Amino acid sequence: MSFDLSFAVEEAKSAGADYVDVRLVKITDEMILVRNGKLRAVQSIESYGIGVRVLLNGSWGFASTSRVDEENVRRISREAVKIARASSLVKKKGVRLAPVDPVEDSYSTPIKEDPFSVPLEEKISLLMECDKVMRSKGEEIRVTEASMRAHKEEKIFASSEGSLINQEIVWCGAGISTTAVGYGEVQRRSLPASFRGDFATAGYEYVRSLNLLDLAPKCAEEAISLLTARSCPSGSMDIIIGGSQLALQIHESCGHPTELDRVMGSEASYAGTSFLTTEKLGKFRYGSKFVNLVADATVEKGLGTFGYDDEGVPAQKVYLVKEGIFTGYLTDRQYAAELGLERSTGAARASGWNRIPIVRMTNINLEPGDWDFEELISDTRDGLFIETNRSWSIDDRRLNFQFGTEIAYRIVDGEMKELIKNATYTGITYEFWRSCDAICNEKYWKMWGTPNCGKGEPPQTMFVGHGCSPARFRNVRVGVGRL
Amino acid sequence: MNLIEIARFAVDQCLKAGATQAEAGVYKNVSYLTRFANSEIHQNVGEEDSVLRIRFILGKKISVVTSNRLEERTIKELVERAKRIAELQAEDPDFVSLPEPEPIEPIPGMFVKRTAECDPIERAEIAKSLIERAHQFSNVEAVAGNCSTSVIEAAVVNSLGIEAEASATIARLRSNVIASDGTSKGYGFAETVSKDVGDLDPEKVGEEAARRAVDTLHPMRIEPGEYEVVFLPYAVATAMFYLAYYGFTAQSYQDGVSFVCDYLGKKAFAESVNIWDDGRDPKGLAFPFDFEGVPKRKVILANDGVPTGLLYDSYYAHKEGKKSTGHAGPYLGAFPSHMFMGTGDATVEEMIQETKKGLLITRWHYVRVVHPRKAVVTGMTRDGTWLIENGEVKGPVMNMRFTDSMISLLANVEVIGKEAKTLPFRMEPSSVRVPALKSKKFRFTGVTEY
Repeated sequence: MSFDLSFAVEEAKSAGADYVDVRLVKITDEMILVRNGKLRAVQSIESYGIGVRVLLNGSWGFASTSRVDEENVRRISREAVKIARASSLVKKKGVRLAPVDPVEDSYSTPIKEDPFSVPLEEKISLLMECDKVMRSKGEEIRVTEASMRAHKEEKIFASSEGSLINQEIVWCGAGISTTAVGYGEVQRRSLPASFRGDFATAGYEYVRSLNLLDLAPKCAEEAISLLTARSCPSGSMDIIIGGSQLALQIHESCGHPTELDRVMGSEASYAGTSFLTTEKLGKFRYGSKFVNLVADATVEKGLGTFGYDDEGVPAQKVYLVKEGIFTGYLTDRQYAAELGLERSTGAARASGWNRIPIVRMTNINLEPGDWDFEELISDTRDGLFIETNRSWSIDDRRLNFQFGTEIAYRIVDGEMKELIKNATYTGITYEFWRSCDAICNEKYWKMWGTPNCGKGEPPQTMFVGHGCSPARFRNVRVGVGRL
Repeated sequence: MNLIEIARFAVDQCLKAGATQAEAGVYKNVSYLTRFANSEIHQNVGEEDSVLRIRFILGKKISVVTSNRLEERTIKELVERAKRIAELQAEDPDFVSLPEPEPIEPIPGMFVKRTAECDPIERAEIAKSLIERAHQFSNVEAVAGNCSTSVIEAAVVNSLGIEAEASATIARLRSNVIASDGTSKGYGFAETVSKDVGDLDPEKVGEEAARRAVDTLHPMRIEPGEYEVVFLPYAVATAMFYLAYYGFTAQSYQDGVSFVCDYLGKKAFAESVNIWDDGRDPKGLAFPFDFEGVPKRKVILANDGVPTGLLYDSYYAHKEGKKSTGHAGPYLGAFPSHMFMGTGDATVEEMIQETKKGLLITRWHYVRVVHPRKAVVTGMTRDGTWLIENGEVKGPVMNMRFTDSMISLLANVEVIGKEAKTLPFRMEPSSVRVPALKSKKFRFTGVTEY
């Protein structure tokens, strides 16, 4: 994709802007859904447009349009400045930006097989086959779904500081799920993860690697088994959390509270704030000494991996928690400056041409420990192994959380003994992470992708990654609610 | 071309390309949002976009393509892409037909010029008035919120003769206020929505949010358990969405995951509970048709405590031999759009007076479904939670986590408020209009630290 954005920058500058950045973005998205044996949807979406963001006397303005021609682009450049002038009517301290070196560069997701070039018949055939296998497993099967999604974002970023960056980000993934109904119960099983599957910045080779057809029998059989499984006991237990559920735990209780804009009050009117206030930086014990959490936009296949963020700041790796101590934030240029950091940590991301970049997660990863999974089970006297998210909720400062999972197993004297349904657990974030006493090693470490993180007004949906191995947490309250 | 011309052109191109049926919806959105935090405008954005969504049908093979490039050349390319995808499809035996045309009565007053012409200065002044009013309260530390104005235009055409077009304006104002006295923080919230930006009363919204913030300083911690509850309309509005989307949609019923599977035609709620969806009622943000161009029908979802109805799009309606109720959403299946709950005869003060030991709750936060068939949800209280004892508000409490069934909540409704409030719903243009209510029991399973 090529387009000269310099005139947009010049137009905004001549209208009075002190700083300008422009993003031209083209998004292509394809989603295929097979449901109950029928090809329920093949949805192809294209969105193309341009957004101009300006800073004038320390106040922001932004305007965007899908009509990408010189006349309209100049118009919205001037409109962005007009909006910034209006912002300055209600200003207190004014925005400063942490510096970034201007750069001319390009980045593309390394892929082997373009997911948009794989024949549609091949994709549909795989999903139909998975669906057929799941539906064959019993009369209790009420809903089967197999889906696949591919997403490409082509974008050009230009700034009045001299940056010009061309990026092409590709991600794809797939998943299957079965809902069984019977015995007064409804149970769902999703593999390899819920939220329609697992995703990565990679080509179609990633979908092949998921081996969905091999997972299909287990998906259906487990959904049926869960109908008659025992309900989750209530009480305090040690829990070992599997990778895909732990990924969401990390997302909600680590990723979001370390977004510096939340800490500074920027999201108070919607998503909330954060308990990780700035006086805690470098001092607060967030988790046990085993807990190391890192924001890494460079890791291979991470859904939050890119070359540069949407302010032109290079992708980087930043420790958020080191040996349990809270050490870092996700920042953009504005909030990095507000905190007195020398540089942004490169987490400014916009969901499209019509949205401003705000602080988002990249890939928030829990570093592996040194336990073998089987050893961890053997070492657990009385507990639960829980996996695959079903419900999730957390308060607006990211303290009190509650999760429900699709499946669990009761561990007794070092063995997984019994299938458990309707598993839930709850806690307070830092108490929970301080109770982490064991993390599995690299052999079990996997990068999971979450394509549906919501934040901002107007709302933005962002794709982010979470790498982790299963881990154990002690004395966690389980079995919450009348189920 | 205007929107209806674009839609007609797209359908025409589909038929020329060999479609047996075709539908084109064009949705134009011009919206502006002025956002504030820490008592200053920190984000201020504008967006204009027009999206064309085509359903290309070959017998029982369906493809859906969407693009915002609306020139004739790009529409032809889009149609070609839709055709290629449809040809590769397998047949969907449950697909019967796109809907047939029905008369759509226009709804007066949906579009207000003053909202459409609202400029950044006016939105900034609204924000300023709200912030200044809030700061007139002692101990207000920071004011956050947003003021937005939108113009939404929609045109839907299909090959069976549907031609629907309408435009509407929406203005919203919401605020979160944080109070602090140096040793404690309090949080308050208020929100309003209208077609007319002139109806937004920033001083009133700022005052409401600030009063709550100040009244929640020094919250005490109480133990989780079962309590009587008085929910303000903000909380009831959130409950309505989850009840409707996971319970009263045809797809959730047919999938066997809805609580209505166990309660259709049977008493589920208190007799005073009446719930319906009516896209034409001017007390909501009315809009005359859905994403398939089918006129919105009033659907009684619960009558005197008995679930009686479901929301349908044409696909799920055909599966039961019924007609669409005009609730097709942008994705597959029906979507609640204009929810109402019937009012009672009590004031909030009277509900409080009738409470022996309970909680007065402003709103729900981060609600998720724990078990859809049992209608069990979990979430947090937020921005104003107080303990009531012996008919009086004793003081603010730290926010609580709830995990309970909405069937139980509504089955135990004792009193319903006499005044209803219209609030924004999930997707524009849609709304929910609900009163406050008191229920004799609701289960709280956790507590946070503020």
